Amino acid sequence: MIPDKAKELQERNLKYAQIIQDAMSGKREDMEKRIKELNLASTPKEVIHSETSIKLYRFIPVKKKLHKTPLLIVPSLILRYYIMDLLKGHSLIEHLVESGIDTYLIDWGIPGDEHGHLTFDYYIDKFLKRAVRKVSRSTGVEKINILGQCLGGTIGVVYTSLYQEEINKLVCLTTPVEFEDAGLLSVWTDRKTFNIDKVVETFGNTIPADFIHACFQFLDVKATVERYKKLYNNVLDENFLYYYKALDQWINDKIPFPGEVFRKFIRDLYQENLLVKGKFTINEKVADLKNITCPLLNIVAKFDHVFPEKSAKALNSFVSGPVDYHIISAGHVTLVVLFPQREETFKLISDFLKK
Amino acid sequence: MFMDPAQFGKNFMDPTEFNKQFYGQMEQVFIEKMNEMIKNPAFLSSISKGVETGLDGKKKSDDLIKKYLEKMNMPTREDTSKILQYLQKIETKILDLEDKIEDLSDDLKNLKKEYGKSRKTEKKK
Repeated sequence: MIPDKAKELQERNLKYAQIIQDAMSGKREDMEKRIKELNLASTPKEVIHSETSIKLYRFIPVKKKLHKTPLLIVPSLILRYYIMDLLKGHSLIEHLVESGIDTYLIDWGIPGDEHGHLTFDYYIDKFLKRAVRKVSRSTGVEKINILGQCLGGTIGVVYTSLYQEEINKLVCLTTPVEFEDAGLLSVWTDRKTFNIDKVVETFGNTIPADFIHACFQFLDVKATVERYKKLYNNVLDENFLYYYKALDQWINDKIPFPGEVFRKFIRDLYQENLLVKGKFTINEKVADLKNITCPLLNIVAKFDHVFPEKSAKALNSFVSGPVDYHIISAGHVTLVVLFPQREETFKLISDFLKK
Repeated sequence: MFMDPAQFGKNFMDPTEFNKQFYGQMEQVFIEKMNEMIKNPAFLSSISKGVETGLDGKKKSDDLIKKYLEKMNMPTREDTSKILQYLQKIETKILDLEDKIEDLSDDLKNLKKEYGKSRKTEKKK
């Protein structure tokens, strides 16, 4: 009995160590290789526009008749976009494409030294504005739909408040707008303990991914410990490993943050909370949330450890248009990847967009 | 001080089970302590000081490398960044011009259409 168990234990330990070791290699070429090996982000797409490291994708439609209004997805700047297209059969983007929605996505890419002088304002007024223009021109539709996830949602909200005339409907997924008492991140970025100017000036063009992500695993210590424990207990189960490796790859695919964008994000949003105060500006134009008159679908996660429910819910009381608000019993990421919770999220989005 | 063997029951002699229980208890204590610590202002303040010291160190080492590269007549990171940013600005200008050309060609198409319509109505008259 004991020798059998010892053998299994040895096998388990070796496999566990191998997976952890693989995950620790943060080289960009390894990341791209693993994305291909695991067949992640596999919904067929084409690049219709590119600018520096940024790409605008159009997902190849599978239905002959498409819904008349195209959708532009704006992902977060913190991690890569493919959490919304993780695995075939489990992907939000695949679901949208199969629902007949003409889907586009702005991939922020991997910011490098060439992004050092680019500001938050530039991301909104140049990159996103051009992406909206490209989608609008290629479809011949004046007003398009926007779906923003996490910080991409905040970018989408700011954009809509400035250019409401270009937007038909807005979907926000776990999108923070109220940054006061917004969980542990607002405690850690408090101006008393976090000198944002010194951080940006020292790192320069981009804030290294490891610096930003060092704190994320402490946001929910229990979940972090549970994740590794679950892996250890199931490391010999190939089915479990298939899903684990996919999600783990996305989590480890950390990207740097453009320095000046990070400065504005922390100072104006986390430290000053200017967006809900109606004082957040983009190139001297005030991003007033009251300007948002289009229908809004605001989906928040009940157990969001990154941006608490309160931080996302606040948006409902500031916009002027009709609000469809839903709380899903999931976490910040599991909202779009975990079965069956994700099914509810997917359905809410496609129903709202096709209404 | 030591754990009570009775709590492991029949599995006491099984090292795997013993390890599981042992690490389980360690884990509980670790999570509790970590959760207390990450909200503790005194801890955050000392972490903040540590980060600032690290940043000062990085700044000093970056300055040294920069001086060294300059003396060797080699491009610094700042130099290569400037070139990359310059290229980025040129790319943006080209794309802005492309957008303007698209707008102008749209305007031209509309003008042609309107001109065609007005000529037709003139002919009818």
